Amino acid sequence: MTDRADPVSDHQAAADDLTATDAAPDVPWRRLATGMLLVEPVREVIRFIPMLLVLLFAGRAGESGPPWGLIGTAAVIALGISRWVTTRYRITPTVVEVRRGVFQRKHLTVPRDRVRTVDVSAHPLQRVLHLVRIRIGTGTNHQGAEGLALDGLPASAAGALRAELLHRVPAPPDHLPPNPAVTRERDETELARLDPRWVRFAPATLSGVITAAFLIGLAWRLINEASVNPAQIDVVRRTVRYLQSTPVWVDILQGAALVILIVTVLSLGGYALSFWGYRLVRHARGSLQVSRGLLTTRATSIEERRLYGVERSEPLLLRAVGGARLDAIATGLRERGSDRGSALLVPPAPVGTVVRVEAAILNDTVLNDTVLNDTVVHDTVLNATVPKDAGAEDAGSVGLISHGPAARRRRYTRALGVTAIVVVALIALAHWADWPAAVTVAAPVTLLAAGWLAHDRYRNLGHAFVNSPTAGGHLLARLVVRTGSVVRRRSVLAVPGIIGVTLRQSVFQRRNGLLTLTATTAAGSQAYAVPDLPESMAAGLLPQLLPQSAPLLHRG
Amino acid sequence: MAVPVSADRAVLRPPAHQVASRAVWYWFTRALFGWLLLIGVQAVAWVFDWPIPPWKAPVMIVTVVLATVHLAVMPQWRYRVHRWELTADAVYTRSGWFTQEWRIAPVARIQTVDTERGPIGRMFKLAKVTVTTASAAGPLVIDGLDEKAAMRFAADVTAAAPIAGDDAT
Repeated sequence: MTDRADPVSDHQAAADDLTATDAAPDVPWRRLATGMLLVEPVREVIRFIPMLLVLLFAGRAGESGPPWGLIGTAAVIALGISRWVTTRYRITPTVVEVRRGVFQRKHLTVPRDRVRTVDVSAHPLQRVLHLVRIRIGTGTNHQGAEGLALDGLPASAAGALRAELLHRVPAPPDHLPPNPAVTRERDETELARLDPRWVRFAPATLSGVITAAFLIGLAWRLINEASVNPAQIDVVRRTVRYLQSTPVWVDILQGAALVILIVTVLSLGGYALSFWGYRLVRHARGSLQVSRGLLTTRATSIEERRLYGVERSEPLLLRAVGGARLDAIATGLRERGSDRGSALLVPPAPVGTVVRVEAAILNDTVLNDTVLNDTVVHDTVLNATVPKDAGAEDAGSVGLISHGPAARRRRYTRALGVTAIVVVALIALAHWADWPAAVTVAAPVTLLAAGWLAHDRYRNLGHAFVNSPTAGGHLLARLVVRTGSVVRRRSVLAVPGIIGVTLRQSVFQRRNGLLTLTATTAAGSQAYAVPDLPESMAAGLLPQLLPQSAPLLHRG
Repeated sequence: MAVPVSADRAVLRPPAHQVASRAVWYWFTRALFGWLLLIGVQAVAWVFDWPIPPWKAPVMIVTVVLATVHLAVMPQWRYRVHRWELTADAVYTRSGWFTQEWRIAPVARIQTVDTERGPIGRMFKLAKVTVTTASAAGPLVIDGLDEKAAMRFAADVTAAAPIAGDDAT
């Protein structure tokens, strides 16, 4: 856990120099808040409740031996306390430093100018004690990267710390207690807030299905480990007897109704837990902040100079009921483990609202003037590749260019081709292997579904190159791509964020004059593909995305 | 044998340089080891009469045929495709065989240049050069480069890349 490649360690060498020379040596090292001494053990015990229950059952069943679970829990509690004891941090004018570790001492250093995002969260226990966890995201994306987290700071210090880290507000020599002028954060514009009616989109997100599956799995394990025979539980026995007394179709209907009810309730609950109090605001100093959560609250700040675009995604069910969600394409956001969902900008909401928020973000915030003035390279992008006829269209709603008949044919070939193989196999099995004839009935249905899928996939497929003015009056080039059917995604990626291009062409694509163009970036999912682009379009698009590719184009 | 490299219709012109011609034998050897391993496992299964795989003879025949075709076609085809170039402001590679890939990374965005020599590569004095950018999705790989050429390439790229004030994201 502690010896993996760490983005923070990547900067270690450079940062050590800084600490040796520049950093103020008089900045004192601080401990986490003392409240964590209570939080850590309680949380560990709660985490071990299922195991303790199992031990209780097992003990009653006559098992003896050392109470391993209790010993383990005690060890984990001790580890939690030792974490508090051994962790020290300090924030100097140039770097954020954390020292921690029991057996393996670790010294993490992040130069302040590498800080991209600040994620503040608090689970219910921490909220009671007014504590928060702060995670600082840097730009790196290595697998297994840990980032730098401070678990257990006073909530009152969080706002100041965030402002200080992201906006480079001159730090007061001692930021505990916080500087009220910074924490007030008055220069903010609200872009969106939760409308309780949005909860109607919750059942369409399938999150309830996942939760239900998880709960069933947990219950099953608990029953297994406690060696309880389900047939001995009275409720189960009565239910089974009732089901046996009614016809099968009634059972199925009742079962389906029950499943739908449970999934709906769970997804509504999940939506409320995740998105309660959702608010998206823009700070005048140049960051977006998303805050949300019912029990565990969380506030993610994204520095605008690292926001390279947005992605609107519409899973099939959500799309059917007119909903969508919006995520940020930014560097420094991790989409793994406990940090999943940190890129969220708008939770499942009416598509009209999502489009409105998207437009507000794209028009005013993504890569505003400060970026264009102070970072690498981009004058080439701005001057050389901006075609004057591209017009000042809105990247959020621009019409997309379809990829033509060859791409359409390929959608159908792929969907129907795969299905045809399955169908032939099913018919063969029914014919020769004595499978029930009912499977042959499924054949035309799957073929129809595949046909619709191909149709929808082609209808959704498209791209655009848009050049629109930002709030500061600069022109900013953007690539817009829409793909998919089961999950339809529409990504808007700012061209200055593109750090490489890959063209990929299979033998089949080559015969049809198509290729897949992928723009690689350090932001978001790292690569945004434009599938099955006709070669002629690729030749036009490529130099617009990457001016360095212009001399490499084939001159026929 | 006519190998489709799509020179006439391709969007991009081919990169200037080919990899070392020994690379054909390098890829051949590498693939040969893989196939020999697969065939060896099947032979052992046959000798000891394991239940897996069923239909031992047909599976073995198919494997041998596939191996022969792959070994006859792949190295030559790959050699025609694999090319690389360092332009004034970008690294440009073409790779693959059945599916071809063109990759371009501006020199200003390059983060690391790794030179790697595996056991088979060392037999042929060949190296694999990997050029990474800040994107986890975008390394450029030149496989089968002559060792000396690889060193020179790495030095050239390092020289061409400016001392980045930013982190090239």
